[in-house]
Amino acid sequence: MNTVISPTAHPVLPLLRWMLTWYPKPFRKRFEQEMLLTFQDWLNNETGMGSRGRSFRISSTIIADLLLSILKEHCSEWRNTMKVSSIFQKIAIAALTAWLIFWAWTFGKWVLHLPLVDPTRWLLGKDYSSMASSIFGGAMFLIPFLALLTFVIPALKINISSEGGDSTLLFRLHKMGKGQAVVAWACLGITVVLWGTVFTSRMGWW
Amino acid sequence: MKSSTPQPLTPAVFHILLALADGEKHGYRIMQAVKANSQGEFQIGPGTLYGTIKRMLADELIVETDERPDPELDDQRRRYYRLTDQGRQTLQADLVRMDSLLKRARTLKVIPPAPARLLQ
Repeated sequence: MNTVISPTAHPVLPLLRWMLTWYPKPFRKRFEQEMLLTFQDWLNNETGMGSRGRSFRISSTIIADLLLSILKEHCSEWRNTMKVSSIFQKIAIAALTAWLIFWAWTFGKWVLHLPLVDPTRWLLGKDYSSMASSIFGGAMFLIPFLALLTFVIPALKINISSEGGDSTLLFRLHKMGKGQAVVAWACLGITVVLWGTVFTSRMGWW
Repeated sequence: MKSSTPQPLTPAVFHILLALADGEKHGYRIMQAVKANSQGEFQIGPGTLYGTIKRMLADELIVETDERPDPELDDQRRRYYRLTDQGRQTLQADLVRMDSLLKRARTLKVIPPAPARLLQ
């Protein structure tokens, strides 16, 4: 038989309750109350008779398990909201991931001075040609913009409005999934910064 | 290409299905049953438990039972889960798969033969 226990029965419960708010909203709505009860049961049954050390170990286990689970649920939620169905979007996400890894690697090598090999030389070979360099540079420059297009074009709705004899071309964006919108905004931001930097440096502004 | 043979279940899914094999249980009871069934070798935390339950509900391996506990005896916020027919079949298929692997391992003398009392 399980008894009804006050939700603040164990000192670590307020922390666990707070951690539950880190879950995605749909998950929290469905499981929050049940999880609280399970925390109470587990903490009361497992730590009730034990030492402080045992109580600390069990609390740490729950916290570590929760952190992993929160991460997993956010990834799962992200996949659900992305709804990546088109092959172009899949390629765009793979290219963006490679793009981010390359820049993180470059940052680690040249800014943080980590003991890493030169990413460009590693990718293109030791004595890479100027043509290979240009193609690679162009790809790095275009990837965020092309990725942006793969998310914007399917959501774009084009209408021709004819009022009073004048035809007007209307562009509207369908509502995107949350994940898609985040990626699209990130791509737009990166494109503006990247292209802005190149453009202003070519103009000799800095 | 998808394989037609049943894929092994993840440890969490397998142990939850096994825990529910003898009747409906709520979250903490499932955790206790998992620990008991594995003789303490496998423990499942609340985060992993409810994440797995969410996926198993979506895959229709388990369902939430409609009955709520008696408020005198238990907290009414508690939810109970039970196996579906599909969940039971999935568990059986995984056990059969393990059993055939075990037999093969015995044939190859990787593990000693089963004691006579187990074979009866």
